[in-house]
Amino acid sequence: MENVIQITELVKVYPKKGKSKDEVTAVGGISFAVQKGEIFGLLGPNGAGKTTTLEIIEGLNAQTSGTVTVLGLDNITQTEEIKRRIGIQLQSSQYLHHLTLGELLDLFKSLYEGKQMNMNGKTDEHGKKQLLELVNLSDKENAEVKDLSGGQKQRFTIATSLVHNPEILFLDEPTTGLDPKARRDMWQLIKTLNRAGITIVLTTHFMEEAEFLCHRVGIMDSGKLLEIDEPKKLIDRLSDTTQVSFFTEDKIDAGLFTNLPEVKKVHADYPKVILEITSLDKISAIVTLLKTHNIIFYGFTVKTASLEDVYLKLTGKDYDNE
Amino acid sequence: MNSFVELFKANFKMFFREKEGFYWTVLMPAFIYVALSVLPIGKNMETGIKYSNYVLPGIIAMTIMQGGIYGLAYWMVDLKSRGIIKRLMATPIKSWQLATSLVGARLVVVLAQTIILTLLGIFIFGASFVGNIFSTIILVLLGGAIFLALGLIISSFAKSYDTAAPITSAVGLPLTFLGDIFYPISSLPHSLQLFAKLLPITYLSDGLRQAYLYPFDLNKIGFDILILTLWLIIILLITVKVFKLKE
Repeated sequence: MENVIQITELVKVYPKKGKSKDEVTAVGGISFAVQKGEIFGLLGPNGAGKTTTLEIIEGLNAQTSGTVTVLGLDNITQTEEIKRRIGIQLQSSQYLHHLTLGELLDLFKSLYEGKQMNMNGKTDEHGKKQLLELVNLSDKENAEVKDLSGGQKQRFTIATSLVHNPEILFLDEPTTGLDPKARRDMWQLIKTLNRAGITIVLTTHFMEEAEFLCHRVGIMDSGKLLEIDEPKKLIDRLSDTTQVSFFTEDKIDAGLFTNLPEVKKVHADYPKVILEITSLDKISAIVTLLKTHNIIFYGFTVKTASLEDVYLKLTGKDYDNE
Repeated sequence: MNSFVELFKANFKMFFREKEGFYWTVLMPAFIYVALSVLPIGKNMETGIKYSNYVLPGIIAMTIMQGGIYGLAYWMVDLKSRGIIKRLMATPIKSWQLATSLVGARLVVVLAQTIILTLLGIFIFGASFVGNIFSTIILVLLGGAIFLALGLIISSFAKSYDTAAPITSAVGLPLTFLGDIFYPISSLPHSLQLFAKLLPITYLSDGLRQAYLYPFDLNKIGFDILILTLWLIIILLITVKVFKLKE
């Protein structure tokens, strides 16, 4: 696999500021690579260093030490060339006032023109229509950003970052603040873009999102990269991957389950029984056992481990309770 | 070059579509001018000429100054605080291109304001314009560049409107009241006169007054243009040194 981003021993230290007497190490020596064509997610609590890392890759911020290459280009000496080949969506979706979506797209496109002026008016107009269609805003070409809903605004920010056909797209918390429907629309859009061949690097607060979208994720905390792998592999690496729980009508002997080789742990507290098993395949064995002993049970639920469990284990933090 | 033109155009569109901004930058100075000309304010001032004649170039100088240190500074701070500058800097555009396109668009606005106020003065109040247009344009552009650059400098130090407001007031008030705008600086106490003679606005007001009220005199207007040019060089050097687009 070809690496489109290569980060080696990246460190970013912010100097003392205001009353605080200490320097702040936002990124403390991380190394990783992003492969061509993948959706790569950076996860971590606020202040983990995700945004700083992204900004350094994007050429918006300079590292204290370490090297970063994007599409084979150095992030410090070849910033402009990098900016021409990547698309960036920032957390803020605000734009210049009083300009329509169409005008803003024209403006952003012009910012990438540079010396080449061989732009054909017609194809450009066509490209603009296509872009608005892609983000499902075809009927909004003459609207202003302030008239858009949250989801539409967010989709528009993606459109502005695509005007120059970037090879890599950076999305900083693309679905924060969106309602569930808008979030799902955004996921579809991201998948569509990725299928069209764009490598995508995103940060997110939503484990479900990372699990659904990302081919690989890196989990960051306090400026360190704790783990990096496919979500499925990270989850599989957690022991006790599947939890089965149910209620029984009558009190039962917990020892009944300990004999099953598949069951790793039994927690029986009448009327609830929780079993930790190694794999989903073993569920039928449990049900069979319950049937053969004529045990009446209800509320049977199976909970597989999620990326959230991995995240909690690694960072010791809960996203929801932050 | 194309990106510069597009940014310039965008800035221009934004300016004219912003109704409130249009009101404050174009109509407000006109109202002030009308009020000063109609009300018996300037009656006792020993300017030797009709007050509506006297005050017109001063109001124009004030408008140019405010367009820079209030208009542009607040606007930049707004763009910064809403993350728009950062979004623009994520494209290959260079910060000087962005800054010059902003200043360029505003310079055109300043010229338009000058024309509107001048026509108002001539046709409504019978103000005279006996100097020459060429030196007027040079003065307006010089003054515009100085105060727009000053606006950029202020915006470099202010992160939000709350920080920008006291800075602009601290800079704007002395310029407004000591700058030969409403009354001749000879009517100021001696110490303030010395201070007033250091301010660029004084030379902009005086230069415009020379251009509007008196036949072209290279010695007098040339001196104002020279001082303003020196000021522009100083301000530009400071701008290059301190101006930053990062939050």
